[in-house]
Amino acid sequence: GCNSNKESVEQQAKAESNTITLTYAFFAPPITFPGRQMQMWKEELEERTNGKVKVELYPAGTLLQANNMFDGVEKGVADIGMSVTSYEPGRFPLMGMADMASYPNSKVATQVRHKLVQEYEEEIFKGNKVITVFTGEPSYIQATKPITSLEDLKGKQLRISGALAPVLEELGAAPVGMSQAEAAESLQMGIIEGVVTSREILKDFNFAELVGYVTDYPLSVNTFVAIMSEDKWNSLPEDVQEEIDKLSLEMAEWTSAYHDDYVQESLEWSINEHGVEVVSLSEEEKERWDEIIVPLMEEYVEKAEDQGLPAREFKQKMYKLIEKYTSE
Amino acid sequence: MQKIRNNEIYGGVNSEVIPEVEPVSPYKSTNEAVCEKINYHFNQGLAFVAGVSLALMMFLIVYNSVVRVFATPFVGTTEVAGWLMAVTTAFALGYTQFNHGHVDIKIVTDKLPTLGQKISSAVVQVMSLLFYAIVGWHVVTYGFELIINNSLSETMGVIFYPFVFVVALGFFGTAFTLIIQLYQTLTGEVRGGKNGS
Amino acid sequence: MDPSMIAAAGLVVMFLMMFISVPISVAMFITGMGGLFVMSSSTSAFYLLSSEVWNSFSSYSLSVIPLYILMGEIVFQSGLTARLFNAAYRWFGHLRGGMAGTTILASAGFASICGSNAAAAASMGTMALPELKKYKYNPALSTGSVATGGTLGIIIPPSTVLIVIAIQTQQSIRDLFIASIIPGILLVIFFLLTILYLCHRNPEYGPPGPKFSFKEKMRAVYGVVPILGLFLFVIGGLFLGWFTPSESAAFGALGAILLTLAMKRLTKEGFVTAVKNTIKTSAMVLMLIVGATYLGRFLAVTRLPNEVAEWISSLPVHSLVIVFAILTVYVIGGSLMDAMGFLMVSIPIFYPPVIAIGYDPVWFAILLCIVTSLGAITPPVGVNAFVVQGLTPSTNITTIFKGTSYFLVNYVIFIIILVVFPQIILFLV
Ligand code: NA
Ligand code: NA
Repeated sequence: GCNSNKESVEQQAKAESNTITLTYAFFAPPITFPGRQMQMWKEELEERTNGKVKVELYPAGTLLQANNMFDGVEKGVADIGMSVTSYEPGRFPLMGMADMASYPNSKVATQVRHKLVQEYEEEIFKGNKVITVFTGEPSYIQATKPITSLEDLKGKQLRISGALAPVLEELGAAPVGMSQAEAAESLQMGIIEGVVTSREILKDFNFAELVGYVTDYPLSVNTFVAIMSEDKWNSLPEDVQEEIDKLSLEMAEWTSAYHDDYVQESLEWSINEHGVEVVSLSEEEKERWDEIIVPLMEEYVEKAEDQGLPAREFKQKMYKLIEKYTSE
Repeated sequence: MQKIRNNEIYGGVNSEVIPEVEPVSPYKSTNEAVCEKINYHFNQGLAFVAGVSLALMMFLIVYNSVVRVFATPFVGTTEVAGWLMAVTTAFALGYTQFNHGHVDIKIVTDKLPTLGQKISSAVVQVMSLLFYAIVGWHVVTYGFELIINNSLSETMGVIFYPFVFVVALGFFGTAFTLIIQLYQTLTGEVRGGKNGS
Repeated sequence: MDPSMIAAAGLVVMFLMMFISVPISVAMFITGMGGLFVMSSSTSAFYLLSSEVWNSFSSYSLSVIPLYILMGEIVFQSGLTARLFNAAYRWFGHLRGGMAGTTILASAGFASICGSNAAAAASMGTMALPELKKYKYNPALSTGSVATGGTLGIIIPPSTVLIVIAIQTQQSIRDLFIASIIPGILLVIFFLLTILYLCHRNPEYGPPGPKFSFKEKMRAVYGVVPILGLFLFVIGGLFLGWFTPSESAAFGALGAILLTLAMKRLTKEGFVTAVKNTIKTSAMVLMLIVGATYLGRFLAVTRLPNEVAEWISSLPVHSLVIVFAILTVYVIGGSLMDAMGFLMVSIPIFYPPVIAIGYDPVWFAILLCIVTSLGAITPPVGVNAFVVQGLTPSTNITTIFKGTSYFLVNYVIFIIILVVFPQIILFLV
């Protein structure tokens, strides 16, 4: 009894030493849609590699946070790290351009993003391996009062995240930088008058109780990227690399579909349960907004070109892809 | 336990509270008095910057919350206040070290004989010294990486690495303070208390 | 080596470092660094070190700490606390044990604008100890009341301990402040009842003082109005949603400066001392926070917290037993080392499991705060007792601990009540 027991323990230990453990860090809680993606990716990869790979998750900033995620991966703090490119402005100028364009939903934005990253991986991520890339849905203005014109927007104190500040400022609003947690409290207490972000928060963070109106005008999207350092990637056996590559587009598609469905559900729930209203801009009003935002894109292109990046070419391809996937 | 000035106790949550000492005695050799004087003035200077930065932070936050009632608030308030916070804290580190403000547990070392206290003080000071120098060095490295990556602040989109170097300076200053304290421990007759930690 | 074993070994080394008097923050940093060396690499250990230091030092949400500390400092340096004592004294000094009760009530008043327990004990002690001596109060009871009254500093908002817990566990500072009000008031009542009981059994412990006319009483109340006003503005404004925690703290600090200037109570020296003490305490607290965060990263990589959580939830006992066991660990930890330091060390280890077995984060945070404040009056390491001894060097430290022991029973009963009736904490939130 005693001996065989010991042997089996040793065998087990041997089997464990053959498994590859990958650590995967993310800054937000597991209940968010990128968090669910992370969980799903773990389960899929573990199953497809028959337990050869074990993934350990570190969500909610337990290992790395939004602003040290990508460098943390390069330094080997985690094997994989997922973050939002616009949280480090200046670092991913091409992604910044892609985020600023207008998309109907997460599905289209994700497909476009995936193609662009395939083509420009080196220019954007400098040697790091992209595990998967997807976007949230566009950001919408969600406020306590209806906002249907630039006049309504003027001086409104809205919480923004990432690189949205210049866009909102150009539109005349008064963007406020604060954390998601602070935003809920500040909204409740009237310190801010709304938020500009994707609409799943209406349900996830109960913002439906706090805001009354959603303006139906899609603003920038956020790009989520999970990366792995080149060294780590090269250390993986080929069959594992293959599975990870296969999962890349699959996960992106799964995530955007999940997200789009969930946003619809969140929106319907907010309308039915909390009387949230969706207000839209008139055609002329829409044009006025577009007119302000389009030149901003041009500024971005100039800046990126100055840094020696193929920004003009990137922009052309991007608009073609948007057209292609929107009509599909 | 020594007599304590009220205003000094107030600041610390320390298990032992030691007053800020003007750079006079209890040192016999002039050498040590000089050391103490350098250390004192150096940290007074850093503390002054920290205090000014604290005041600026207070005014900025108050200003912003008043302004937002009537007009467009300053979008970078949280970022700038955060940077002022960094200056305040980093420049207060050395002052805190000089005044033995970092919490430690003395129940064991207090029972040691004089020589034992001297040795333990020296060991602790060497460890702290290395620690502050290492942090300072790596914060500098971190700052250079921000430059290389073109990192800009999230809301205002401006460079912020100079503040990172300021934080590094605070850590180097503390290491410098510890070098002098270590020198005093090794050469001085005063043990434990003033020179400890 | 098994990761959990590395974690355990790291923690043992850390406590050894602490007991040769390495500053608690530095010990946590060194342990985190060494641990990450072993678990991953020096590159990742150093990168995390520098990025965590920068992230915490430049954190806007942490700016509440120096600003609230500055508010309390300014009020103390300008001597306004004397008015609190004076007011309570005129109303209750003539009762048996009234002077000790006065100390508790005045401490509660000061706690409403001061966020640290040692600070509250020090400022109230300066005022109360000479008076208590004059009226021949039992030394144990007098020093015990001052030390224990000081613990209210971190239970009644604002409170540095609650701010730190809120930030480390990603909770709302405002919620924790609101939740701590009723426990704070109840604890004051408990303390008063204890004094009443003690002086009823031993009348010589707390002889009555002189009586004051109604007019004199009202005049003293008038003297408290500025402090009360500051509290209502700052904490009330936070609760009512006039401002965020950081804004409340900034208004509090500026308000305290303007108020004491207007009353001609703030001297240049007082102001400079207040600022110096503020930056000193803030740097100390910040280093504890970053040290604990960094240590937490190492522990996360070893997955020790996950394993502790799994182990705890698999225990065949009622979850209340687990909570009591954890609280006992805190009492022991808080008795051996600085309570705030222990809190920082232990949050990454014990907080996740308790939440994992389904307890309310707000409730647990308040319990932690109360247990932490208890640590300030338990031997051998009791910050408040040391502070009081610093104020009356002639009193033996054992006398002071005897005095605080009168109140320990209160604490224990009170904690049991809060565990059994969590509504006391939760119904306002
Ligand atoms: Na308080
Ligand atoms: Na204690």
